[in-house]
Amino acid sequence: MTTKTMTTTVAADPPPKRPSKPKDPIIAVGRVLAWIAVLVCLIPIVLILVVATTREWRTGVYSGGFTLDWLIQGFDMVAINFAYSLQIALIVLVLNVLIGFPASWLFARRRFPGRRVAMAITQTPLAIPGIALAIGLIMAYGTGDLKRYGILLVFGHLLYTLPFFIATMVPVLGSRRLQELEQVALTLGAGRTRRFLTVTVPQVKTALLGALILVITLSLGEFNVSFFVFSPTDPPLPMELHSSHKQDGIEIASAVTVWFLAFVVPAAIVLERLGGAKVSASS
Amino acid sequence: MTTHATAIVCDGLSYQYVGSDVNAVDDVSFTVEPGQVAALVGPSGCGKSTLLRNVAGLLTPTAGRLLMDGKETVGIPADKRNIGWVPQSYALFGHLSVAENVEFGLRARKVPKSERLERVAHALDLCRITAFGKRSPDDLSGGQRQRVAIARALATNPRVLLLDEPLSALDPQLRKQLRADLSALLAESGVTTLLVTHDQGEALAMADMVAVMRDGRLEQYAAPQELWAGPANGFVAEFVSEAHIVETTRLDDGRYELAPGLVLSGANGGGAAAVRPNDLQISEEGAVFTVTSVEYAGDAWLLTGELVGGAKVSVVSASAVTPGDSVNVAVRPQTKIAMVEQ
Amino acid sequence: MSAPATATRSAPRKRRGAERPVSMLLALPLALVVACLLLWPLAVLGFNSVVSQADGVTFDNYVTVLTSSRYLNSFLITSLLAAGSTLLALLLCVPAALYIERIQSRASRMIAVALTIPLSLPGIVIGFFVILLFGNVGLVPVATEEMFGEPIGAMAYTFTGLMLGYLYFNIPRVILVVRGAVAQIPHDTLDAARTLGASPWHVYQRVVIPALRPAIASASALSLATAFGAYGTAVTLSRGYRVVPLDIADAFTESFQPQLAATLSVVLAVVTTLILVVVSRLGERGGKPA
Repeated sequence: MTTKTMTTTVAADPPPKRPSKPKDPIIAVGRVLAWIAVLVCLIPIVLILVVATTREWRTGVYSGGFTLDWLIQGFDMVAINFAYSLQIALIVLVLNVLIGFPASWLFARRRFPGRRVAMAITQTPLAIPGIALAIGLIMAYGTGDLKRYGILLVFGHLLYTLPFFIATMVPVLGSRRLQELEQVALTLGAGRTRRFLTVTVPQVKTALLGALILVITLSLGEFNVSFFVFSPTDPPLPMELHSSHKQDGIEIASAVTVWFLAFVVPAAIVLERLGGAKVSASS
Repeated sequence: MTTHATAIVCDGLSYQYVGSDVNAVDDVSFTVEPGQVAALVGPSGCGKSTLLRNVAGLLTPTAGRLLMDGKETVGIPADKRNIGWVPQSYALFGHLSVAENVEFGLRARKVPKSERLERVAHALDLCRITAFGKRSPDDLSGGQRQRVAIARALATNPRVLLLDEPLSALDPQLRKQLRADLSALLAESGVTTLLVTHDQGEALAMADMVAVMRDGRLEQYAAPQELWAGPANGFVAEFVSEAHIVETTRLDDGRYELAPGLVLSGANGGGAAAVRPNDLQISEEGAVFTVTSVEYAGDAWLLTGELVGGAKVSVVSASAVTPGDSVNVAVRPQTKIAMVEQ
Repeated sequence: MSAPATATRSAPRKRRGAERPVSMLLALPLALVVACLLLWPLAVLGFNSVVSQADGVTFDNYVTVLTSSRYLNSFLITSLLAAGSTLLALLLCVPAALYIERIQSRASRMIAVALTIPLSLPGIVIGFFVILLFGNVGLVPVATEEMFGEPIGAMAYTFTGLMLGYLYFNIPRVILVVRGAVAQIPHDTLDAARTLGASPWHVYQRVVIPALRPAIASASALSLATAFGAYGTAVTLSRGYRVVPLDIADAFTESFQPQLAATLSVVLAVVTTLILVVVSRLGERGGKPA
């Protein structure tokens, strides 16, 4: 299926607008490499669907026929973890907005001493290995109630999603265009609240939505920190995936993972449509 | 549209950006009479847009007074000044329709709905964009977008209208037509207008008064004809009328000459002359003029070159001259060459 | 924070001075999060790595980590994996990103979407992908056994398998960063270079690569940092090959040596931060592109 769509799209490829740019070897190589990267990224996702719907994988592709049993069984196994993870992700999302939005606004609009340093510090969780911070969190806050009620888990996720949220929102809030729109609204007599609600929010909502989808998918899939700080009574989804990968047969492990992908992959596609994720690594 | 118009008085207005040690606007004083259109003109970086933002209230002057209707306005925030500001990009709200854009300021003022609709309809009509009311501004052409921005600014009956480079985002072919349209619209609305432009032709064509700025300072504030006839200094003459500044030499009989053989008539004072392209013509006698470049301008040729003695001038000519050739030029009859301070 | 300067450049503001301290309060929640969830835990981590209840202040743990062949070996393997997967990702993704951004077609947009998917996948899922393909009952060994009577390519748990997993999560990171930079190069610049008679190679050498250098450096930095800290992929695929995050987890949860775990964490955090800073700098200053 993939190969078919691939060849047809490649054939239809020469772009309509700039036809006269044929002899660029790097772009030609780039196209081949791009398709290789796509295959690398997508083959496992197709494969996992196949395994999850094969009755007896060990004896070959679709040996014993097609089945939905594994997927149904897998759903029952992870539904609870999924709900819990989604709940954590929503809390993390709200905290991102409450904490990240005002800070992004400040970083985008004010030039204060130490601004660059402050921004670099907010990006450091991308540099420091999750496991190091997880152990730091455990050592600082212990394994008591904070861990038991999942608060430490929320903390860990917050720490790893805020850099992405802020990196996405700062350039959007700092854009000259947006500031000029706000200035026009100001001269038209709009006060602070009206400007924010009727100009700023509508103008940034696409980027904000993208940032929020990114936060949810990152939180749902977070493993490196979660592994040390989750409460054993409420394992989040990736923990359940992990134990399934270790203990269960390959078909059921695949089925469980398919349910995870069923949420994350569409979210990634919507995210790219909304303008894509922003990643900043310079600190 | 406006029942009474407002006077704008800038009195010693200065503005300095944080982190800069020079004034971007430096001690500028001028008055725009009620209902007048005044143009701020100057090369880029001369502080004209900064001055406009100070009048709008988007920047706060570091010194000086700004009066509107005779009242101090510096402390009044932009949203309470009742002004219409149209930035260079027009900054239309892409998430609102054309009519909603125009309605924005009325909503902010909590104008009742029936009156709001009436005033929106009036503003759309005044700017000839009634047909586009339900469209998104993103679907309009440059000229239409400009009209939406002006309608939006005028809908609130502002005391003054501030236009930042209103024509620079448009195609050159359109610009002249829309310049006339805009002038007519401003006259019809009767609102006191301050507009910023880098194009001296635009300023002369549209404004009742022109303020020429350089390096933050006001070089001259005068009506267009006055500016043309009596430039305050060499910079104004060069900028406004594309004049070349030529040092004059005093002759024994008390008259002055631009170059040997090119004597100025009348008892013009000493110093420098602002020689405009139309001031000179090719003639049998006069001074020798060596042409270095020739530009065809449709109905005539613009010759640029050096007078004998080295002074650079331009001359409009009815016939073409090959670069490198020399001709004689003299002062056109009935022409008074303006004298300026250097 | 000290009292900030008096005005900003062009932001809409009403009264000067009056709102400034108030607007700084907007950063307070973030400052609290950074202080409590980032700086304090890191400080505790550092403290625990040098203070033990039995011996007081001691650097024994650092001596242990930096002299034991086991840990040095882990650092070596982690470095090789990180460097190798980063290099592979760059070779694959820099030309791919150029293609995606320079040729704006339907196909290239689809590719762009497909290549961002791995960004949201946790390491364990990526590890599981490798097992599905190259594990003992993975697609490749199963298929080859069927065809040749002998399984080939069961390399999930080898160094190659780990490398593939690491490559997988580095692809979207490199693509995202480099795509952003390619989009910033004006088409005019390239066309101008071409009209000046420059060959495509020359244009890349003189225009494209210098313009992309900061992005390539920052993509490498991000990719290296992620690879050094990768735990999920390693825990799924590592049998025999030890990487540092696994050593940290072992020390912390299995051998109950929290001080040693803290020390390893500090060393790893310092190494990744240093790499990030140095590699990013390489991109900014005139150094060679990574």
